[in-house]
Amino acid sequence: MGISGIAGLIGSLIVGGVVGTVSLVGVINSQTSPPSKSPVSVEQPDLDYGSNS
Amino acid sequence: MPRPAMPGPAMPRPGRGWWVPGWAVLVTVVLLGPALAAGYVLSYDMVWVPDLTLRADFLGLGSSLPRAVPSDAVVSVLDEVVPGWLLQKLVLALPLVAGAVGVVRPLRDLPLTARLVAVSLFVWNPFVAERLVMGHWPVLVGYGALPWVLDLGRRWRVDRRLPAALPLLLVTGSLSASAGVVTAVALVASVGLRSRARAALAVGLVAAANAPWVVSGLLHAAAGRSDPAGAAAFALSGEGSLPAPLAALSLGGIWNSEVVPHSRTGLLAWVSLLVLLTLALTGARQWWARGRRDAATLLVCWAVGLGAALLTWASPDLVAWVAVHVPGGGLVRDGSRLLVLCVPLVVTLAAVATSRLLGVMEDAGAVMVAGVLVVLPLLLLPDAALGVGGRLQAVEFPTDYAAARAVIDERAGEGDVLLLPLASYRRPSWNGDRKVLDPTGRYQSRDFVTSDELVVSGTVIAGEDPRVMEVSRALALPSAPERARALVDAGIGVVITDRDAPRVSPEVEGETLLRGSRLTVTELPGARPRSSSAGRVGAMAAAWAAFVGPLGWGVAAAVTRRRRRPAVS
Repeated sequence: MGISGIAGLIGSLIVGGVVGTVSLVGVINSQTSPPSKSPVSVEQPDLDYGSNS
Repeated sequence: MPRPAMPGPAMPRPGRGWWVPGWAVLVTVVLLGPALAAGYVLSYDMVWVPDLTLRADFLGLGSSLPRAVPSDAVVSVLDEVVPGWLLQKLVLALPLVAGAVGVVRPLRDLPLTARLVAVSLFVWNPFVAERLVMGHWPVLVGYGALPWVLDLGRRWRVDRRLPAALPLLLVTGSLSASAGVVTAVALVASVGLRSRARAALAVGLVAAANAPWVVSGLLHAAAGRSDPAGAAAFALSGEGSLPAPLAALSLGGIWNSEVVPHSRTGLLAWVSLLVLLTLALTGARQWWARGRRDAATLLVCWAVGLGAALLTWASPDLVAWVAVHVPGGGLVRDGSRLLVLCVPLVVTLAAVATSRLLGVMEDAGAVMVAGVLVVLPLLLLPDAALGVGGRLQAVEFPTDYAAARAVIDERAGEGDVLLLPLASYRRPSWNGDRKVLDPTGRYQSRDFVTSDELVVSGTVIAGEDPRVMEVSRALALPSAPERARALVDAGIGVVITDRDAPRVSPEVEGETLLRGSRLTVTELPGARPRSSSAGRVGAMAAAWAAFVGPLGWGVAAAVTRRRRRPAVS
């Protein structure tokens, strides 16, 4: 197998990896994502810059 | 008996020189994905606008710590030549591609596949993904410059002649405080201390490249002490079940769990760590044997980067002490940014280990292993693909922003701009509810005052800007006319209220210049612009001259050397 073989192998792995990953991430996200519009808490008016948890 | 030369992964062929840059471009494009579409990517600290106007604050003359000096000033100059949206794409993509090409330059003797592994790992790792979402683009620009700084530093040491391109690289790699520190460490480590004159010149060049933020930070000595609570909040952190030190070893460990890809919180993070450690152990001996002086450079960088990051995790009290007692010390409280320094060694070890593995395998097996290793960084961090799982999206600003800028430029009197509500971050619906530093201030053309208070996991980290405190006191007055008078006394001539933000803003009496669907612009007549003292202006002018000066020398040296080069017939 020459360089074209390597390229083919790499291409196959990328395509397979991307399709599999996108499917998996999509399923996980659809099952675990919070509501798109969370109610704003009057107790915490400032938006968190980030989280340590 | 030596094996006959066979066509395989290590065999040079015509056109093979394009594989490394081509692969770097491909991986970068897949990584950035929708971020490369037309529009502006706004994510956490990353705010890009159509035309960033140069103003006193960007030159380090403002009242706040110089967190965006010199990056904002550089952008405001460059976007006079290249449109802001296009400049942002270039700034996001070019450092990754150029850095990947640079990191394999010392590895030219290795098989192509080994170099492609290095490219994949350089572009596609937790550090890059997390800093992209966090919007730390000056850090990533420094990341791209780092391999070239190491390479040119080495050339300077060996050839005993300062490379003409080095000053430009130092400036490019010093667009923020932490990036400047990284670039300085890399240059000193690669140049070495054997020649005192060369070491002194290297330190001088580094000082010049970092002069704007250093001088501005020192000018804020009286008020530039940071809240010690920030040391714990911004320390190196674990990711999922991966403890902080192990997260750092695998180039992760950012403090903000919101920007960590999901795959870093599960089994894949452990697999990544295991793979990296295996490759490091496999390639260590051969890497050391390739040249001890260059190996020592990478080892020093790795140790400094990892050590600094671990220090923020192991001893946040010490970092807090620095933030409180050293003027401008808070500029480097996010210690895991220095993990940039670990990347060249990790990438080099992975490439050398790949080369060694291929050397002991049969052709068919070698090809299979080579293909897997080249794409392994992508497979172990799959949700970094396509704009880090869609977290980087290009958007257009609502028309209110351009209208507000126009009405302020054309009709408002003197004075700076105050952004209300007085909160640092927004989550605009037009930005897909993604968090971003309020972009209103950078979109318009005047100096502005906005909150520099940060909230991390519900803990408030106090800001450092005394002017924000002055404005807060004004806003706390009981009536709208009183608030307006106090703001005018504080030099505020325009108030922009973001009605899309959740927090309610206090009313301020003034003339309404614009009432858009999202932004309201109110003029407060009678404000006078604040001016900096002559001493402060002089100090910053000297700092900027130092910043630009070596660039001029670099251009002149490049031209002179090109003329002296003998013509090749």
